[in-house]
Amino acid sequence: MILGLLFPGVLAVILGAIAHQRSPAMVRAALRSAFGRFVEIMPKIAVALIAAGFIGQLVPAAVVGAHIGPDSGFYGIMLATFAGGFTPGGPIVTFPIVLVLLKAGAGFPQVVAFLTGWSVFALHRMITYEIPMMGWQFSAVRLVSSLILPPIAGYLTILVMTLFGTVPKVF
Amino acid sequence: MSGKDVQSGGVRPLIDWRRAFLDTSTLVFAAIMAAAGAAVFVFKGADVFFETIKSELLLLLSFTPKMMLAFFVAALITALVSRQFIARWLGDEAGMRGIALASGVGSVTPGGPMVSFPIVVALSDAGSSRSSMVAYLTSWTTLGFQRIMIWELPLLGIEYAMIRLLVSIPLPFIAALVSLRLPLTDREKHKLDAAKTAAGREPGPERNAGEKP
Repeated sequence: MILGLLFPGVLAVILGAIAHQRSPAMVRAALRSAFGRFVEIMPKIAVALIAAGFIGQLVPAAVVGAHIGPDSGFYGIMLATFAGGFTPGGPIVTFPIVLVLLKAGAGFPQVVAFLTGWSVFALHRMITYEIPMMGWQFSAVRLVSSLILPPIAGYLTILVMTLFGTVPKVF
Repeated sequence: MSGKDVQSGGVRPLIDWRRAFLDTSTLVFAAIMAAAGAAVFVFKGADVFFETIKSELLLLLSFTPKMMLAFFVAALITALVSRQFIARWLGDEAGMRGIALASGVGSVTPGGPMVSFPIVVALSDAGSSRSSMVAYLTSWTTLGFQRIMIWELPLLGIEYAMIRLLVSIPLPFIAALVSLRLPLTDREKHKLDAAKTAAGREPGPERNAGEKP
């Protein structure tokens, strides 16, 4: 929490000082525009967060683990990709789920696909931040560009693990 | 949400209340919230329903200060960094160099989406190209240094964390290159039109460009 404030805080102080040196009016204009933007975006984020919380309550979690074992091949990687994409919430929610998945017998390449799917699709994050701020068209472009990433990461993991000597089955 | 307002200051009111509450995406989210909330209330009971609302509002409260700071930082970046600079390093002409730079910056940007998205909005307003922004976001999510340090190293162990990092290095480049093949968004079309009109009549004003055919 405190650490999370540190980075934007330090950055704000440094940039604020530089801007102040150029012209104090610049800092005032930036504060004004930041405040206006912030107030405009807040209702959207509040509504979206609660909506995402409800959706998270409706979707099951640990059922998936058994289906994405090391031998589950293409099917397992695709399933993991989608499960990841629909997993709501930040790392606080997701990493506990990853541990549950591994315990339930998920393979590591599948878990990489899951994590990558969660990272790049993150329905939750798209609804809450990306669409309100960047517009749905940019979101769509980014989403389509990212569709193949989780399977690529999953298969690269199989490749790397094969080179390292831990051999998971492919297909 | 476009942010032409940052430069043109003065004309725009401090807070646009219509944009805050009545815009389409707010209304769509409100409808989704109502439907999902009703389903939770019916299938999971009132306790879960109120518990979810409470925990989401607490979450919102917890990141509000970060987000305010991030918007301030983004506004400062927009004011300080010239359009020419962004256009040169992250714009359409930057090509692979822009993609690589954006991936590097994305990987070291710490913090959650409340920090990174205001930065992306600022970059977009300043003329950053689509491929750079896609690379930045993909890198921030898959190669994010902070996430690896805080979550993956302790929970997965160094070997697994390193394998995942290794296989993810090509991902921002792949996404950025794919994104170049996709159709233009409305916002990009507007920008392109504005740029064309501005180029048409020599030193003229950049901003009112879209108005005349």
